[in-house]
Amino acid sequence: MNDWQTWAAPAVVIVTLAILLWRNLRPAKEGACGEDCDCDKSD
Amino acid sequence: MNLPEAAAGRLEEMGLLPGATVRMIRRAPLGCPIEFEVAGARLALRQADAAQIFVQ
Amino acid sequence: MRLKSLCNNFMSSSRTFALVGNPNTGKTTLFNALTGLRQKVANYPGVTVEKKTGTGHNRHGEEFTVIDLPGAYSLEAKSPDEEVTRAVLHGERADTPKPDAVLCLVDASNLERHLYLATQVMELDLPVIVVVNKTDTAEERGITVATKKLEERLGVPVVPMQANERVGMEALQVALSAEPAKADWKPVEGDTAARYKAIGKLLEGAVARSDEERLTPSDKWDRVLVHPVFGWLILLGILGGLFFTLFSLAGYPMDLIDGAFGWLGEQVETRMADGDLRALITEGIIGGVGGVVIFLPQILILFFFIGLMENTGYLARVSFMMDRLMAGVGLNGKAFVPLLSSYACAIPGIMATRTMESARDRLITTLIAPITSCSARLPVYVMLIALMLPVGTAGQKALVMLGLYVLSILGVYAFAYVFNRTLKQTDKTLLVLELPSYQRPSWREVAMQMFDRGKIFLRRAGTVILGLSIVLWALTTYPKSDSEDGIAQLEHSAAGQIGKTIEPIIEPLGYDWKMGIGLVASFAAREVFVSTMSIIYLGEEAEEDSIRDRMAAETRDDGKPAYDLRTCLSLLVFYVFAMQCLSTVAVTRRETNSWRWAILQVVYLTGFAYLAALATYQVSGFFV
Repeated sequence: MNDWQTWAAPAVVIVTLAILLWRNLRPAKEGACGEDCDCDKSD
Repeated sequence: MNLPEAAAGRLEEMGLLPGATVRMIRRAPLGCPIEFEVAGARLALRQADAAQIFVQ
Repeated sequence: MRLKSLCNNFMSSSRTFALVGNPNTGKTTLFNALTGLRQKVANYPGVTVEKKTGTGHNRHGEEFTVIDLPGAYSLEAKSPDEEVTRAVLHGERADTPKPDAVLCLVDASNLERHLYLATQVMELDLPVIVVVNKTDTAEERGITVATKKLEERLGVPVVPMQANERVGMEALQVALSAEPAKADWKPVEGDTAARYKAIGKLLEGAVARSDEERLTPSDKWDRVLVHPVFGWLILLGILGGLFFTLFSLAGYPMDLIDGAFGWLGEQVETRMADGDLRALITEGIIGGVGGVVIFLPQILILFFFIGLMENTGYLARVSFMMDRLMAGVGLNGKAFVPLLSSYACAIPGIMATRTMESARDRLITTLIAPITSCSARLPVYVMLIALMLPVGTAGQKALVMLGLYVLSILGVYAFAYVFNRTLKQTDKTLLVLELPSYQRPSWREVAMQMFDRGKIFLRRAGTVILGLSIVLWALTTYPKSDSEDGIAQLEHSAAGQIGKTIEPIIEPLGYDWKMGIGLVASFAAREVFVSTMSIIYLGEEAEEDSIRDRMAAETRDDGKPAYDLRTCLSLLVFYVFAMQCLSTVAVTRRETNSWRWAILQVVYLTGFAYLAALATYQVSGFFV
């Protein structure tokens, strides 16, 4: 077992979680469209 | 026309004015709606609504 | 940021053009022609109408901005879409400054109707450029427009154009580069009739119509495509063809992608020492994301078909044919396009409801939109069907897929009926559907849309799915157990414990705790079910290599295969109905401006999914 990997992996996970939460809980900024919500055109 | 305000307004905008020429093209496979030609465009209206429009 | 845009406006005389016109006029085509790939889609704050802006360059090399405003028939707004267009043109929106000039797109075959809006715009004290589009179709119908004459009469550029062939762009560029001018148009006093009269005078002598009753090419097509018998057969044929392609043709590129990810995994394994981070990369990231990306070919095929139907105008015919069926459950025929779009993804589908005038219709459509089998379910369906019919032919699999879609359609009707009965009835709604004339598909347009969607799919995979896969991997790895055995580790992990906890609830549906993990995880996004299963089964050391084989070999406690026919069916039924998409919930909340309906969506759909899956599993027990 590699020592550095044992803490590196959880570190990645925590950062990922932080990013995910921040992106979803960001309040009324920009109306939050246009990124991952698969928007499409109108007519 | 004997339709509620908003609806009548929309139809008029589309060219269905008193005196305009309307041509019926076809019915949908299930009988409803009906395709008309009005003011150069093809519009489809439901049977019940179309019945409210009086034609000479 | 404001200072920057202030500087921008000062230094470059960057102009903003608003693009307005009726829906289905080819506005978007023109928009694409002007802006190419330099587009951005956002949101008008406060409403859910989409804001589409892009930039282009004029003949002096200066940059200009184009705003593609929502299609409108008139500035007397009757739907949220039209309201936004109206507000922007009046400069009433704080987020969007009044445009410098307006491009009014009108259809040559139907000038009067289209000029209704254009003349309203001309009265707004804004410079205008009129673009007369689809001149080719008009000519086929025997209509010629003397644009020069109109130019003289109005005092503004009137540019003839065929946007999808990119004919007329030169002339438009000239107009865009010149000083914009206001139209020579007297405001109309009076109502609709008065306006049409004024338009008639404007067009006198400027439009030539051949007298014969020309059967337009469109009509010839319609004779067959909307035929009481053939029309349906053709529609079914098209849908069947779509599904068949999804199962057969897509296989080749899918194998390629599978191989690529497999290769990637191997590379990492050989270069990194064994350890947690390596496991995170190979199982979590490569396994999770790869498991979803492999479905890219199918996403592309799906959107290709939809794009093609829409581009040729066939989609409107489908609405026409389907309306009767929809009226029966109280749905507006206009709900068809949003619902059909929802078969690709409910999010643009729900957004498309803003063209509907009645708030109640919009609400019902929004509530049932998630029942449509969106593209995110495709990976799940394909995976489960393959497990269900390991030696089945592509035809058989396509049949099951078709069955799932039929099931979702039935669900849509059933719930539309229910909601129609339970929600208060307000004004009676009117259906006015416009049937644009058929046009030769612009392959370029279709391809652009297809790749656009592909890009979105990949972006979602690279962001949301990636993030969720990493988190999931963590949940299935930590807390760690002491044993070396993969299965024991999984059981000990957080995810495993959750799975075990809900196992009693899901057992009657034929699921085990591993599937339970997949189910719970996929509530964020459906594709995650596939990623999760990939992660779970990759994490276990076993003889079989591919995930599919491993899942097929998976057995329960009593030795019988875990993924048998009944369980797969039950899972499929669950996925048809369950509300598993955080993004959709978010959009519903935005559209309806309250949490109430969004929560209702999740509850009623998931609850029903549970019951349906339960019934499926139990009842199938009598037959299998």
